[in-house]
Amino acid sequence: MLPRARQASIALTLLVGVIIPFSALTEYDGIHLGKGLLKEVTQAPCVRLFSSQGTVGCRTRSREGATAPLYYLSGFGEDDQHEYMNLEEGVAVVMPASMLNSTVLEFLKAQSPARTRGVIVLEESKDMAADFERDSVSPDVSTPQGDGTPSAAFTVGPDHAWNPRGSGLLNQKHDFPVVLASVDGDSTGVGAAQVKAWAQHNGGLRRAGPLPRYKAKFDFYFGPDSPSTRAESDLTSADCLSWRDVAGNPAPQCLPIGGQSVWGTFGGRTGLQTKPSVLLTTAMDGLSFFHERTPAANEAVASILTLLAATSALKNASRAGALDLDAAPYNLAVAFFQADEWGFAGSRRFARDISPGGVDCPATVPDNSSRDGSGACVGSDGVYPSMAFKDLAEKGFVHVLAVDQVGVLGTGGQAGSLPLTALYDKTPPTAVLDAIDRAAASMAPSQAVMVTSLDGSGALPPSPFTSFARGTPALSGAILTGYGETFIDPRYHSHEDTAAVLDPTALSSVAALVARAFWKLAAGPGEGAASAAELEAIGVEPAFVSDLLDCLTRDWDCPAMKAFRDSEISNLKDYLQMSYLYTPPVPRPPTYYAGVLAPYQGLPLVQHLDKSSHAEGVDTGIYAAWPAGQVFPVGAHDKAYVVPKPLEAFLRAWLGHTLGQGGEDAPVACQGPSDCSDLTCDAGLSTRECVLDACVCRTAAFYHTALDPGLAPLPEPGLFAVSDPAAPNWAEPNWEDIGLAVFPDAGSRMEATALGVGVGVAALSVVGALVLQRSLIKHHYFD
Amino acid sequence: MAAAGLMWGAGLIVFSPISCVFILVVTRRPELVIIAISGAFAYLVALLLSSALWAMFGPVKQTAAIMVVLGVLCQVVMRAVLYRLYHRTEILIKSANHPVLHMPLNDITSSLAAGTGYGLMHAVMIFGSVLASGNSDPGVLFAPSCTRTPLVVVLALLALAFTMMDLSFMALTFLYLRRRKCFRMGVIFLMHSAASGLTILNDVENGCTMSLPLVYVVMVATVLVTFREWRQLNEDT
Repeated sequence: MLPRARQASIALTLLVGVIIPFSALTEYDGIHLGKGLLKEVTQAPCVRLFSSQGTVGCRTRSREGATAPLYYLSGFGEDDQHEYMNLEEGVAVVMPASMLNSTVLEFLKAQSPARTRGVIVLEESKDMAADFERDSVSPDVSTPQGDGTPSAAFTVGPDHAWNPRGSGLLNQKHDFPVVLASVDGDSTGVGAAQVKAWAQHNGGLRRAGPLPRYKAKFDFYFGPDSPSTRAESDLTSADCLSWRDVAGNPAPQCLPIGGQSVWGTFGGRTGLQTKPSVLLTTAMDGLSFFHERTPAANEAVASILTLLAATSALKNASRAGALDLDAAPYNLAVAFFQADEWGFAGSRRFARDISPGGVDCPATVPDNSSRDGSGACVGSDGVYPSMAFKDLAEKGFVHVLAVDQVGVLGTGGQAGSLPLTALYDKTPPTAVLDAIDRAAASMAPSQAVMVTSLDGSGALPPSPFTSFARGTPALSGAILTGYGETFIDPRYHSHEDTAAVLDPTALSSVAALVARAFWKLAAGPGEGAASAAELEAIGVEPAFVSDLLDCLTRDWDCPAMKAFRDSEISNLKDYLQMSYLYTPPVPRPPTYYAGVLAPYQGLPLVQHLDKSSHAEGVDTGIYAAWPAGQVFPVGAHDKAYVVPKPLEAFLRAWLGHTLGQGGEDAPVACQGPSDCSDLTCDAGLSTRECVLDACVCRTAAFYHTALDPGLAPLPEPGLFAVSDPAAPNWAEPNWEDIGLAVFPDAGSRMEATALGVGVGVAALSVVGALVLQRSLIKHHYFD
Repeated sequence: MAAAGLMWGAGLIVFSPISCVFILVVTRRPELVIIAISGAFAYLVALLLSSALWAMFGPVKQTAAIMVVLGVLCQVVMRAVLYRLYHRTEILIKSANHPVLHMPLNDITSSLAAGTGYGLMHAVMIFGSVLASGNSDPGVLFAPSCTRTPLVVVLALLALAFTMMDLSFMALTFLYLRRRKCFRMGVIFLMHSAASGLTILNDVENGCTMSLPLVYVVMVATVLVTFREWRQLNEDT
């Protein structure tokens, strides 16, 4: 090595050694070292979703995401459109939520990808009063789960336009990301106001516009355009679920939308086994263009609350001696179906499973290993931790009363009365309508309700009743709704379907009506069944409704819900003999989007322990199903279980506590399940649980898997196969990091100028240094 | 990474002059490399002294002008200390009267080397963290002192001016102290204070429109003074 080079290398090494520490201080926002200039935006995205027919939703087409300067679109007049079309570069459009409609998005889509790189919708104030004069903001199609959707074949009357003002955005594919910037920022990101300020600062993105220019970076990659085998086709859920890696191993890139439906019975398993049932039901999930922002106040919360309040009212009346539930000819059953917005996944699977031969169950986990004593099943349809639904199947349903959108009521009622509609299809369900009329007649003047019967004439609005009606057209049933021939809520399936539209007092009245009608149905036909005194004894406490409404709409971590959820998980950990168990996080704010079905997120599993290795505590396998035609090798210590999602856990625990043996009926104090061994349960092998410090027999409330019957779990947890390609089979893609961030940028002109000046200075420096060197040599300064 | 062109451009503005001098002049002799490293260390010590004064004198912290003067004073003192160390080394080597080992250095090349090291470290301190942050952050920082120009460019231009002045100040220090014209160190003090004091204008919104041009005026004046003084020396000898 030449001496000079050695010297230079030593010097440069020392220099680098000084500079490297500065590289560790890699972020600087002008105030703090360690904080960068990339500012996350608190937002809820529109995500890509797959069905059997293709793709809907929003995404960035490149793995690297999309980066573009913010452009504020304040209006949609001709001048605004003209100015937009004259933009010379791609932009991230920032617009108020009031402009989110199909017209604007179609215009922006037509300018994509040349101009439209992404859309940021600025959320407006959450507290908006119900306003029927307002233009519809419903993003769903005019025929929800009907024509033009993958669920059309599973709907009664798919061509009926229940949602005539729907824009159809939910059913469209957008090749650019669309996100809803939250009104309020939080510790992790900035809110809509800041994003708007940045966009307005950018102005019209003129050449000599102000600096810095704020740019948005969207990271919403959800997979390629099409599968490798069909370059011209859209990606479907079947493609995504059957994805394989380069080595040919299964590597699914999505998970099915689903979870656990929850159902309960007033008479316990004994009631199910001895007499037919009447079913009170609703869907427990909702839908929105921005899935993480699905408040579903009218769509789901109102119905859930109505059923819970009705259940509580009936149980209270029973405890008070006003009702004799055991003497009623029919058993009362309540059901909340999950993922029903996605091809009626929950109710369709339930209806299929309770039908003869509905479930492939070649092997059962022993009764004493199942939590409710009903046994558990492991087969090609998956793992069923509870077989209690078979009890229901034996005697079946006689009547079904479904509840839908009873939070927003019309103005068509008589003065002072709440208007409701009982919708049925063709043949009037006499018993159901009579029960509703008797219930309405028993209401006090201050809670007057007017119910109008309406024949759907071959059409039924989307609800769980649809799944039962399709399977048994002669089934007696109706849907109690707040609307008539068409939906009246302009916020149907919108992120604006918030709690502000709900009136606790009105909901109390509706819940009381439902409870009384339900009792009348269970009490049987005839004037003598369900006397006026009995009906009037069934009342709903307004405080119960208002307290629970606050929990369900604002914070699922409120004490009322958290206590039930904690009990549920505690009992599960005790059953599995685990000190730690992963549970899905509680979403904030609450969202009624069903989410995916995955291990430890609603997917039932069986923990298979080989007896010989049990002493060492070694699991020999955890399975989600077993191949058809083969018998699962049941072990004496096997445990079938499911880790529910937060809302599911609350509902099952609440129903179990309210309806189960023990609980409030005969409280036996406890701190854990081990304190409940003395509690006698009718179903002797039932697990005893400790819920809200009281022992309960696990005989009254159950989970049931909500997974599209067109899909089946495979033995390896997380893998699914398509058993019916024609079914909707909705799935959500997997992703690692998605999000939106904004950062200040200098613009290309400044960049070019800086680089040009730098190169010029470098050139001059070389020349200058050479001149200096030669001058020094010439004057013998290096001799 | 922030706009690559911006980062590269700013980096070239700051480091290309001083790096060219280092590579084409300083590395011709290993002794000059050692002196350059010593110069860098001298700047760090000057910075440490300034920091200690800032920490000690509470009320003074609030007055930028006073801190500027104190900081410049520390740097002037450290340059003088560096020359002293160089001179003592020179005396030691000459007194050894070794038949082979001799002092191949002279004030011009030595002061250039010391100034290069001093200026390089000065540039790293002004500019290093901002440049490093740009490597991991796509955002470009703008400051109220210069709302239409990225901070990285503003600092690059500022660092370029000060590195050129560092070369000149070190050359003048060697010249004046060799000739025992200590009182002329006041000239260095005044020019350096003027340049540093002008940066206080950056406290004003868009103050860079005034401070940067004026700093470059001072820089040009400094370089011209340096050339004039060294030419005077050559004529005298």
